[in-house]
Amino acid sequence: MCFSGGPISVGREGALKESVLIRKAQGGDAEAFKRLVEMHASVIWAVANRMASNSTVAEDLFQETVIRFWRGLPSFQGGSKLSTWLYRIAYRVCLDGLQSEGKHGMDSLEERSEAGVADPADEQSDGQKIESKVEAKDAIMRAMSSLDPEWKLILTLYYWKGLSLEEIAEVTGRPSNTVKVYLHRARASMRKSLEDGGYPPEV
Amino acid sequence: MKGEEWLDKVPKYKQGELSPAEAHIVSQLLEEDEKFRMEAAREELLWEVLSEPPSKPMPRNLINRSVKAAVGEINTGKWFSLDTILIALGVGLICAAAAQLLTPKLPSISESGGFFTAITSLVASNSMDLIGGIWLITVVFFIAGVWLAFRTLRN
Repeated sequence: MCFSGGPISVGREGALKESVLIRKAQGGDAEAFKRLVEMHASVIWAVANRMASNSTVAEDLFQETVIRFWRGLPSFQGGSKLSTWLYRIAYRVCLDGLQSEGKHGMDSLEERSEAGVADPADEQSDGQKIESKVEAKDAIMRAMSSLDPEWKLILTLYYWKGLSLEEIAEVTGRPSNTVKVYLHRARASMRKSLEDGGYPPEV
Repeated sequence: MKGEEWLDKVPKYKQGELSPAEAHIVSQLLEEDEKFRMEAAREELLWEVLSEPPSKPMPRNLINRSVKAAVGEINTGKWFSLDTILIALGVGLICAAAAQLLTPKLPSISESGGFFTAITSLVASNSMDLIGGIWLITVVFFIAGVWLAFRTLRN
């Protein structure tokens, strides 16, 4: 299901052009590589932006993703879509970057769950009533910022890019069932943060 | 998760894309189940907010900067790799040695047992101009060899 996220396929002509660019870039053609980055920049930026606490961190994550993209390009066999492969790189860069910064702590999702840590939405909930759509949006962004990085990425891929469970599983390297559970928990957590804020207002 | 599956069908229901049977179920849930209706409203807002592209625009030079960092890093790595340096130095030394064969002013090299012996004897006889000339040619050939090797390897 996808409300407004665009398809990740670039169409047959686009894919053909992309495969030519990939071959050239694999041969060391910097211009072809730059074209590939331009084609996918919005996605990398969106992921980096959603994950980062500020623009500087987002730029660092973007740059690191591009560097790893270039480094890994010679080994890209075309077994998966380039976009999926790029999401995977961005995903790893964001998790590595955020964990090394310690902005979200080093606890993995499993550790958080096992330790019985409350849902991020619970942590975020401050009893503030949501009385308008703008406030609701702010509440969503606040709840997002307190989510576990992995949940946040999964939500971004699901809502913003409209990726299927299987595609998210390919990006994250997690089994589909695990992704399904994470996504369910993350979505429920986000809805709960809205519910705690009293959204939608009773008519 | 069953409820979430029906929540996911609400947008399709609103767009008239569900089968009559599924549309009937969703319609009933929305009309009769207040909790479901609320969850559907929250879910709709989540889609609305989270499917929006990031509000912060990408800095104009970020792509150029990142591509330069990536490509530059690799080229620099390739340029200064141990293999490249060793090969370039080797070629430089071969060129420098070849320079000795082409130097006409050292008739005594082969007779005196080698280049360094010849240099030593020249130093001992204070023939500094000649020594300077030899070293100049040697160094020029060495540098040219290294440069040519680097250039070839880079391309």
